[in-house]
Amino acid sequence: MLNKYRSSEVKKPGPITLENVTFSRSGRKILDNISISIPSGKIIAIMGPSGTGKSTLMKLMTGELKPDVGSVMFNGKNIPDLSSRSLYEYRKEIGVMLQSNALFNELSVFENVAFPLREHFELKEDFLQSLVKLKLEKVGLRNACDLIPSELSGGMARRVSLARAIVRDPSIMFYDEPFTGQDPITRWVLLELIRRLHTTLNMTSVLVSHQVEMMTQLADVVYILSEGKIISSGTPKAVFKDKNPLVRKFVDGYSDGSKDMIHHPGQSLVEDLFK
Amino acid sequence: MHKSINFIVGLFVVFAFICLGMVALRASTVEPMFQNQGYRLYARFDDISGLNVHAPIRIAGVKIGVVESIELLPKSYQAKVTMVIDTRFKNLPIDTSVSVATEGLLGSKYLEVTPGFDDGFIKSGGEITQTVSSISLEKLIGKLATSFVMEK
Amino acid sequence: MKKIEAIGAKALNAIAGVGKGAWLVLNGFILFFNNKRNWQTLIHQISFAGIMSLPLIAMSAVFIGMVFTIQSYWVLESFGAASEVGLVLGLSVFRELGPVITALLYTGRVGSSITAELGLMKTSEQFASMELMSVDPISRIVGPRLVAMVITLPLLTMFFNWVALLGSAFVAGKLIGLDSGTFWSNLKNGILFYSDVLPGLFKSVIFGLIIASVSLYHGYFGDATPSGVAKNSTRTVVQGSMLVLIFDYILVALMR
Ligand SMILES: Nc1ncnc2c1ncn2[C@@H]1O[C@H](COP(=O)(O)OP(=O)(O)OP(=O)(O)O)[C@@H](O)[C@H]1O
Ligand SMILES: [Mg+2]
Repeated sequence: MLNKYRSSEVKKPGPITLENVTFSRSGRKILDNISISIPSGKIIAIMGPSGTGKSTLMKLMTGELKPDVGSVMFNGKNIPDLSSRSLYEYRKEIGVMLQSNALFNELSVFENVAFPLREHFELKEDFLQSLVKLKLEKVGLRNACDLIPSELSGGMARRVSLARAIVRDPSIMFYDEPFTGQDPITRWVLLELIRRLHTTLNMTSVLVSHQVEMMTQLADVVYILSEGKIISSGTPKAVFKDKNPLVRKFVDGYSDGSKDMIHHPGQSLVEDLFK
Repeated sequence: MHKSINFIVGLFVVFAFICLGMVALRASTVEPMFQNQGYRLYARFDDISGLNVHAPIRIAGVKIGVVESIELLPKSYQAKVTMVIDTRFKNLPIDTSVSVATEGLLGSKYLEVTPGFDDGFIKSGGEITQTVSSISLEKLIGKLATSFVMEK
Repeated sequence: MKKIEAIGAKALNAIAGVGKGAWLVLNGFILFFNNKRNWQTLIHQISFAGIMSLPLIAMSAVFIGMVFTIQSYWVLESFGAASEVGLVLGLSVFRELGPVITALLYTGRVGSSITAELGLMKTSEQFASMELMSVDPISRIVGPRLVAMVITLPLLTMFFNWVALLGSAFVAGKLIGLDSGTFWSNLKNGILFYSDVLPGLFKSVIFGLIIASVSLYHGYFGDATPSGVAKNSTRTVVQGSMLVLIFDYILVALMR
């Protein structure tokens, strides 16, 4: 990472390719034979109803979960097969903002963001201070740096988590619903931040988000996931105009108020109540 | 902040060892390692009931060594006691005697050595031949009781 | 048939658990030395496990010393051996009461909270996010806690031993009215440092290792749900205490 500060030339990360990935949890198939590719240097949005496995898909890409079948290739290597050492090497390249913030509850906001730097680099204290403060400034929390996570609001905790994920200037960023809990203005500020990071660091960005309008602006490629399958993919404009009824239900559901709740799979209400 | 907690934890460790030191100094005997600085003698007794390994060996009430081991001799059925004695008391006369003694009326047993007057000394690894066995209170009481019965 | 199967499954689970626990402890110990930042964490953990336990240990030691002295005084007095009360107390404390009671208190005070702490970290995905930052939680979280627990329990036992004696001396001298010179000299003459005091401390090192293994195992591998964390803390206390008592017997039988 320090090299990045010295040289202007930044290496592009390779693409991530998932092939025929199937993943089940407690006997239920959550991802069913999925093949997608994350081209390098692009912003990819993964969208879809709640509970369809977007976060699961992301965890497969970061090596947190292993698929039952299929491969997750990065730079010619299958991530699930990596030894723990090479997995840690891979993870030095990536930044992850989890859906649950997973902040360290004993550390202050500042120390949370400084954590990955302290663990991996021996930086001079004043250099580290300015690096961390700059990132916190970007998410609007520089003055909250002495608070501890339990003193933060939901939206603030999200932004600390974002600052921590980007503090190492990774070459691939994973954001799991970065805009939840943010007011409309902050949402657009964060969107700009994500875009600027993406272009200046020449990174690959993977986002999970429900914001159709924002993704139209930001994403290069959109995948729509429903019931464990990719039901539509392509540029945002193409995808959001797709005639597929499931896509329509998902995309329009947000624009004209929810009519049809997208249910967790199982028996119907009538079956459940009257049997 | 790091510095102050380091200091407090350091203090805690020192404090714990001071407690250990107090136990060592005031509440227990730190046995010198006689194995290195001592020499061995042995003695045979008819009865050493109550005597334990590590029991002190004393001359005139002052500790000079410890009992290292106790075993039963297979032929004579005598108890063989091996003693380790401080090298400062190397020159015990040949006619020295050793007896099993009791601290107080009911206290634990130890060996009391009474030096003799001979000009020759017992060599390291040698035997103290004159021994006095345990006087057991139970046996004494038993004898008294039978003598009372006899008189009646 | 079903019942026998269930027993078999339980036994297999227990064996697998011991294996996983041993793996965790071994890795925690080795990986502790991989990161020099662990030393600072170790200091914090010693402060938590050791210094914060001092009041509890001190109170328990004083009262156990006092009660035990009165009780043994009543028994010894009837043999006319009241002056041996210090010796009786010293031997029992150094050999058994000190190491065992400190370990039992420690399981409740430190073991359970380590389990809860790790369980909470697991539920809130803190371990996962550490791993995503290429930081090994076994090295950074398990390691320092393991080493701290193995170090602090013997230190607390040293403290317990001395404080219990002070409690005893107070009761013997001030309440019963025994001569304090006799009290201390009986102790000094009757107790051997290398064969009465040190073996007790050796046991407490083993107890520290046992409590650390049990609490870290339940924290690291236990169910990552709020109710799971609560149950696991209880398990740590129950299993930790049982194992301390069982190993106490084994060690005493072996060392004699
Ligand atoms: N630890 C787990 N154990 C069992 N099932 C799980 C677990 N985590 C998630 N699931 C199941 O996996 C499915 C997909 O979960 P996932 O978190 O990937 O959904 P998502 O698409 O990210 O939803 P959201 O938009 O609400 O975040 C859900 O149906 C959920 O019930
Ligand atoms: Mg999700």
